[in-house]
Amino acid sequence: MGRDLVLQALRHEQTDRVPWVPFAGVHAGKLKGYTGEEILKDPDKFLESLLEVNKLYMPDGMPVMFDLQIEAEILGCDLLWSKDNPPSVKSHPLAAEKTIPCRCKIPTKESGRIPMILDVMRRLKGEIGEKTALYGLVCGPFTLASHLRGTNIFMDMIKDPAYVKELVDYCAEICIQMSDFYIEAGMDVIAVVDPLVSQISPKHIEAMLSEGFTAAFDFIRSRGALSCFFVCGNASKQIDVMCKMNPDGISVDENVDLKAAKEITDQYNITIGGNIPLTTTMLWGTQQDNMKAVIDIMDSLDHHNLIISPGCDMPYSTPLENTVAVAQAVKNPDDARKMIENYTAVVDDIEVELPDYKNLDKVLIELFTLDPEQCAACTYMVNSVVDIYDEIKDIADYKVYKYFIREDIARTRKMGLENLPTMCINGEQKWVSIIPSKEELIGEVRKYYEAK
Amino acid sequence: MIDLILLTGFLGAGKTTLLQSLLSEFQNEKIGVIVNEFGEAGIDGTLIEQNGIRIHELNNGSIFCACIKENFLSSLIALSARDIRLLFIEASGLADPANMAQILRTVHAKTEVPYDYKGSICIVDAETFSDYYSLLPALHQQVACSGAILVNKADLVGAGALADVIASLRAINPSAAIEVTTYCRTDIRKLIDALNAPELQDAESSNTPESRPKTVVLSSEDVLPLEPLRRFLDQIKADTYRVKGFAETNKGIVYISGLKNHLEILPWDGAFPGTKIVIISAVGIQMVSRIAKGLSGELKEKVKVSL
Repeated sequence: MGRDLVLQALRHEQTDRVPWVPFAGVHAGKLKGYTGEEILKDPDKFLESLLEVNKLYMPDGMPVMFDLQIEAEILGCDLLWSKDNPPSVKSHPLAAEKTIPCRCKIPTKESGRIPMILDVMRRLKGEIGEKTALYGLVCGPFTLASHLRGTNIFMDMIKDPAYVKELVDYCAEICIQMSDFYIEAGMDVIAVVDPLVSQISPKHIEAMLSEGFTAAFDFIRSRGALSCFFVCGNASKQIDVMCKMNPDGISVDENVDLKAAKEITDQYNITIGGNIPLTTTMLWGTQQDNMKAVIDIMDSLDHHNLIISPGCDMPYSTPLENTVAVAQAVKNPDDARKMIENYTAVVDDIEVELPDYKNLDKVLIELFTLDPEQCAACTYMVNSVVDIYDEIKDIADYKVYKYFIREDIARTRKMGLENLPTMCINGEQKWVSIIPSKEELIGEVRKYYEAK
Repeated sequence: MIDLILLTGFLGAGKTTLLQSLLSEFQNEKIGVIVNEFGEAGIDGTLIEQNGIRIHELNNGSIFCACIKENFLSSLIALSARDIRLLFIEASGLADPANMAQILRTVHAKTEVPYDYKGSICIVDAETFSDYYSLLPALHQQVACSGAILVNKADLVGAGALADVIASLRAINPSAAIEVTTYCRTDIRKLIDALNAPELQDAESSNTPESRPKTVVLSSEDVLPLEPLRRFLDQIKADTYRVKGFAETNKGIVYISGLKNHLEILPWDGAFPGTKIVIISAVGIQMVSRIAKGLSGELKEKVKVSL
């Protein structure tokens, strides 16, 4: 059964085939004609949508709610709701005061949307829990800390690491509390989802994040469940330090070379999952593109300690047939291999014009993102510019590109960028998956301006 | 007037022991008790449960911290209407009572019968005080705010070390009466008479939510194997400030009390609140990992870890 496959893979046992775990977050609602906001607030619509995911995509395992803002909302962040995306955080309660929230704010089973989530988890467990492994997703401690403190946290990491450690530990306590609730509601796997970890150097991760994350993974195992660490962005350099935190599995997106990453996770006997490209393949590609993506992954890797998944939360409008093609390819790779034997993917290259960087009046900051609202790393990279823009507006302009817009995809290709988010200044790649501190960014812009 | 006496002292110094002596000394009086613990489990409440005593347990933080200060004020107001003559407050081990004056002023207008604050008795662990003093600002405040100090566990240290501790205490608080004790044994009435009613000054308590230590609770519905439990607690005790609780084991119900490297597991024949062991971490959130790794076999299956 599918559930056993996922559990075996995460326990590092041999499996008959590679398990398939689609990350259908708000996309689940699309299948039943509901908006993201509707399913994330209405338990009946939500359950109906999740059952549809289970029916159409035949997953071996699936997440219940893919929304990293549940905890932040309870702790006082205002949310911006969307029809075709999970909500995003629009205010940071600790932005102006460098404090640790009171322990009395740690969520209980009655806080925020938790009663509704637990209700859906229990009902889903009753309906499909015997054959499908269910994932409870919790917001990772570092992303939650950033939701609370905003972009100031990057400066804090340099100026006041003790504070950041304390805040991350506090958020790890929340992560443990949420895991406790979800395990009790029947979740087999708890995924600690922390997209922002890819934006921090391994040295800083070890100093400020590792203890909190390790405690969460150890806690999850102590309760008899399995743990996964989901990250997005280019986490290639961070995989090793993530393994040291001792999760049972790690899941990465298309920014990471899965083969190179698996060589590292194999050394630690940790299961790796990923990394079908979300936009270019799942959203914009054909069925053949999707089968090819799966077959390419499966043929390049040893199948022990492997799970096939989308790189991250699937786009709302992902065509149903593409996901079905992925499911088919994972479950029947031989048939899929035959179907794509003579297939070469067509690259959709729209003509785009790059700015004449040498002759601009002002310095041009270009932010190439997956999605500035939904990908947390992208949000924080964009905000690192927006937050200081007043100080540089006389000497610089900025532009934001989104990898779900065809022109922007073509532009990203033309610039030769391999990882998102990336910040360029006057056409030169400056920060790839790393968010600069305020001083660093302003300093660099001034340097370019003076060189004119 | 209700006489109010505050008991302070670091985790494991002997506050509950002194409270038990106070309750037996004043058993013919009408007494109220407020017990403040860091963990969620009401361990101390069980230890001092006696007929006719009004006990209010305030858990999950220090009563002087904003997290539960409101509950503390409500308890003070509620107990003032309950026909008692004496109120003992056992503060949590890391309580900083510097803002006691402000608290008493706040409740003054709302109490049925006013409180007469007699002062605080601070119990100092002679063996560990010097080690913890520089680490924990609350210890300084506990000594500085006290009207009497018991230097407890004197039998565990040499004369020189004892003299050093007393000298440090004198330097922090020149006026409080100081008594040297073992198991908090002392003439209780004399001690209370000697309490220097403190000059209450307004000060900010250092018990902000930030300075709160991490607490982990172990619970179980099953009978636990005693020897593996003892080995497990022995293994983690060095990373704790305090271990306290009850457990139903294959050798009967036990009371567990640990303080750094001292661990006592004693048979218990009083009321049993269920298996619950509160662990106050000296290593922050890492305690969760140490516990998860330390639990194995039958213990791992039967013990539930929570925060």
